[in-house]
Amino acid sequence: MSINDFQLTSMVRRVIVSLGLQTSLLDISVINGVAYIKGKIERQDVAVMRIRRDFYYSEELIQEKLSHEYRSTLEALDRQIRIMPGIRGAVYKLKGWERRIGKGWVRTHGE
Amino acid sequence: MMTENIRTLIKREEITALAREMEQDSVEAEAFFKEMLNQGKGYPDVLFPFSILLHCSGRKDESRKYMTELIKINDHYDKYLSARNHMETGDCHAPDKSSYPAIQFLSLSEQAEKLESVMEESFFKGPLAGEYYLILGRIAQTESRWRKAFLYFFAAFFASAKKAEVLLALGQLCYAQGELTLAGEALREGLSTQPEHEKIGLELSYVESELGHFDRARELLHEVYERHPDWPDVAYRLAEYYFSENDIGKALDYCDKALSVNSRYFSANMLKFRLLMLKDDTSVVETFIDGIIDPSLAGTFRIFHSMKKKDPVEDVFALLEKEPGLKQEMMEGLWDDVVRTVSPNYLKTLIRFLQDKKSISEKEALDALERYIR
Repeated sequence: MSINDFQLTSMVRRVIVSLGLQTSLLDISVINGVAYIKGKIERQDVAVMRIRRDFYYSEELIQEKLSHEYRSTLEALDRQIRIMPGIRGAVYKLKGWERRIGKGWVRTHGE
Repeated sequence: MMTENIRTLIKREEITALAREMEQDSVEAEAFFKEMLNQGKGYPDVLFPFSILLHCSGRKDESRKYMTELIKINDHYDKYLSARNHMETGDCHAPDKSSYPAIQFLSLSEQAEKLESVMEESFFKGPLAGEYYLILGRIAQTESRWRKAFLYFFAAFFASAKKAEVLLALGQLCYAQGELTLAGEALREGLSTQPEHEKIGLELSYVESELGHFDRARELLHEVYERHPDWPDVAYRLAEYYFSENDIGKALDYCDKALSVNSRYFSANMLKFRLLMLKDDTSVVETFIDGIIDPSLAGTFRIFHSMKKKDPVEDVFALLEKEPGLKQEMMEGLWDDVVRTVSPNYLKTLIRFLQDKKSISEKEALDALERYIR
């Protein structure tokens, strides 16, 4: 590992913070220029709370809206990580989400 | 731009506008924490902001109920105990003019002095009011309302004179927007005010490492670790630092410290595996792998260790079949350094064997040869 991995881990963490994701639920590291993020993706913000409040009558609708919201966040996360100078790749092990080639982020089970 | 959001001097009319919007912001914030409580998220800590919001909107009995519930679960946190005490005694401890510490960051003290009369008219004072404005600021931050968040943090300073807490909030606000220089300025001033404030120390260590101030980042991590040896993330960051310095012994030591608190810590397990592979002691590696709780991670480690030992390629193939997710990780480059510790001749044979078994395509085999054997 070069000195940059120590620095890159901080950069990846900052992207995660800036997207409003809970860092305490994630294991974040960079190994030889490859970002490794494992754990649970969770946003505790007003937008997510509003979805739950506005669509309280349908759990299915809530899950659909939340999936859309989280998918956008994950796309932004992956995009911002991959454009960082020094990053060669990214591996995600996220509860309930998988990044599939050609399909993007796919929800594998409930939130 | 973020810098404009906080570098611009605060105007009187902004303060009066904020005071007008405060009630609605408080209602929204309360609904947010209520929803969190309903979902059981952030429990029990979420009881703290919820209780403060209720208290500051006049529902004192309800507020005390939630604070009591919180303290029943966590009775050793000074912040909670002190809040309950303030709630019960009605003691607001409003800071007087002489008790405000100076904040140099963005000349906030000077700005507060100039706006004193409008601040007095617009905001409550006291420790609970300070917490209240910090909560409203954090909520505004999650909504990307940076200027409003900044103004609430400024109000929190006016209300409570708590310099370190306000500078931490401002540092985090700048950090989240990638304004690292500003974040560093706020957090350094916060830490100089309260050197034992571990949250500021840890946050600043991330800022300093991103700014390339690695020695300072390490010092901060050590200071936090000494107070919190039970924080595995701090121990792991130190392991990462020492690995970057090629100090394998210390890196291994801090990996072990992180794993002694959380044996399932993936990053620490992965780094420890790499370190042991570098030490090239087969029996130590095997003992380590046998102790891994996660079967998939242990399976992955066995594959590379088996390659390193030049086990028959059929055996490695059988192990690979059990870990289908590994191919994607290898394509991303996660294991490149480990693969390069394997003998090139052995690797060539294995790659060709995998191609024959249709486990990888011809193109993938050529890419792998190009990637690992030059």
